[in-house]
Amino acid sequence: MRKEELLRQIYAVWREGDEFSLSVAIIELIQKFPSVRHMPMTRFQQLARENSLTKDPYLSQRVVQYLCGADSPVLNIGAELIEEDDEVYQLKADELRLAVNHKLHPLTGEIDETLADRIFVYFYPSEFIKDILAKDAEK
Amino acid sequence: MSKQPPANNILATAKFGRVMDALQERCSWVLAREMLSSKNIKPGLGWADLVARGEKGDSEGALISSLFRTFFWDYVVAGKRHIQLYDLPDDVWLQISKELSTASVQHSVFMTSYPLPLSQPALTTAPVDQTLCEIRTLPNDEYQLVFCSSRSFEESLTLERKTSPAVMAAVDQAIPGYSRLIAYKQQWVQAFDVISFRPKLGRVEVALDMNNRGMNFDEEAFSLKLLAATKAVLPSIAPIYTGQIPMDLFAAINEIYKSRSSSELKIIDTNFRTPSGALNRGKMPSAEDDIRDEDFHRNGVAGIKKEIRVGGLVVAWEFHYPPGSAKTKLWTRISLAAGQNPNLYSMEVFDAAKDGDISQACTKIVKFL
Amino acid sequence: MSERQTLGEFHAAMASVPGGARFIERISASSFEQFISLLHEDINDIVREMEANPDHHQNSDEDGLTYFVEALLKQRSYRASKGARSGGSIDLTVTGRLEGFSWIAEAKIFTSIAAVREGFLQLHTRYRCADIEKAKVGMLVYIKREHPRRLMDEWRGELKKMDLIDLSFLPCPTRPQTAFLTIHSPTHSDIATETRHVSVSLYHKPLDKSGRRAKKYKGR
Repeated sequence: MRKEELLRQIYAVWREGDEFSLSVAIIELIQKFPSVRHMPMTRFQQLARENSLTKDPYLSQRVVQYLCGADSPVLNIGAELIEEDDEVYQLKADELRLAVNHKLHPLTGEIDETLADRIFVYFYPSEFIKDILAKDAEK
Repeated sequence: MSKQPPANNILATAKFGRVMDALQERCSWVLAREMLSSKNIKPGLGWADLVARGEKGDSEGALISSLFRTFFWDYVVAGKRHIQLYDLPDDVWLQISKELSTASVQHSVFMTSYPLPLSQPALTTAPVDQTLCEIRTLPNDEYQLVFCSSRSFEESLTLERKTSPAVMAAVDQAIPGYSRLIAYKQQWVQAFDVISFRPKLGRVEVALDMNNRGMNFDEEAFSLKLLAATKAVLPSIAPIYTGQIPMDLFAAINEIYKSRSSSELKIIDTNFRTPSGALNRGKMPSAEDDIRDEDFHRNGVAGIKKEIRVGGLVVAWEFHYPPGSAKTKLWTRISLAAGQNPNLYSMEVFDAAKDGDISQACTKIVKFL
Repeated sequence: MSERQTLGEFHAAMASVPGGARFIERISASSFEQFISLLHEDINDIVREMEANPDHHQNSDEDGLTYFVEALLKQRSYRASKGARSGGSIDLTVTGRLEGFSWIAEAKIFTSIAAVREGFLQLHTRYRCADIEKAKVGMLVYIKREHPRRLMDEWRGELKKMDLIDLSFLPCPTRPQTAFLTIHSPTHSDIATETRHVSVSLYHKPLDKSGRRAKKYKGR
């Protein structure tokens, strides 16, 4: 798939909505910084402001839900557990699911009621978008 | 490859819950999950769920119970270790091996539950000196002596008005004006220190147990104590530590840093100094990423023409044959690393599920000397 | 908000967007059962949204309604395609990010029992799931007429007359009033296949004064 095709695909879902504009801005950010590996949600909110998009506080959430999905899998979700000693542990997908649904601490294997306060979510580009942007760069 | 525990071992007959309580004290859930995944068993919802499944009388329960009893046996000598390495000359080994053939474990309070740890109350009166509990025979003509001892540490708890109003009200009455109370409790754990003889590799490993949370002790002193306890069983070991100092591992730090990153070796944490004197730390949150490949670090190092002095690193190892994994930490204090002849006489090995992983980790480090 | 967003904060914010409460579960689903369970919940949400605004859909035909469902599924992290091939022209194919998880559905406006019956037969005799061992499929029944429950009961009755092998009925645990499950063994596989029959009530004829007078509602 080429970048133009991907953008058409995203447009077909969101049409003229701000979601399309923010999706494009995220893809261009990845294109500008190909080695980016850690993008918190606040980065997308900043992009929305920089592009004068709606003040809807949940625009980034809708876009992230779509871009992490199967239709246009541009982003992957990552999560880090950062304990008091500043040690960082990266959660695997099923560890994140268990942390969300069961408050299961990935390192201790125990239920931890305050776990969600010490896990931090971020996003990073998928191989899908990296391949597309690499082809685009060859043009 | 470790042998299975003997059939009449306490481990084979103890309640599964007790085995898992003991394992949970020493082992991270991450390793337990990896163990389950390697056997295509669902990890489920943590330790409590795993214990419940293991206690069921069905086929999955039997499999889980057997798997973790064996894992516990292997883990007694693994996990997180403070390690010193000594050369093992052939002539010294000859004498030690003769003594090993007649050495035996004497009865001690630890033997009432070994390899499971004693209970907290029993540990308060158990020996603090390392006491021989097992002599293991391993493949490749290797031997391990496992010593147990009771160690204590203080566990603290901070109480504040918000979370403990009743207690703080009492504190206010007794000593008005204090907003926080810190309480200390003595906790006891059983340490399983190990000394390994690997004659074909020409070395002795002195591996102190660091698996229990809260363990904090003078590693140098305890390593010498362990060697002294071993000498009581194997007198011929004396020349090992009276005639030599542990292997100096410092040179391995920079050699490892200069090596190529590969699927087997990833540097995930490092401290280093630049020619202009800046003290730096570079750390990757994932064991799958090498700091040397990270853009900021790589460009910075290239910018100073790779003239950095590395004072410490943590390496994530993935062993291809036999398969296994572990992490090693070789870390000096900046003041020592900056000196004329820096040295490092010990290292940490952690996240090692079995003895083979410890051994391979040590071998990898030694290769860089 | 600080630079770093905790999981708790992230989850709370995601719950404010349609489908967001199940976002993490959805993208980390590792079994077919999880995938299906989440997909059913998401379809329930979409059906509720359509039923809450029936006036928006009065002029939509079958394709239009299904395109609407497709778009909302895509917004909820699925790949959904209308009219994708799978032995014929299936109405809706839904997949997740992981390979091997797919769900197919036939969508019909309840113009007559015969029309719904044709859709069911197309679903079970023409189309194939990506993996027949994970055979769970769906019927979306758009109802623009009054008394949708009666119509669905009629449809149930029709199923019983259709000589389906090993047919059984089960209540739908998440929409017991407006959906039901059937299990039968299609002749092409002999494997028990579950079909979830979901009604989407889109009847709209306001009875207030302006509704009674409006031309567009005359004849409904």
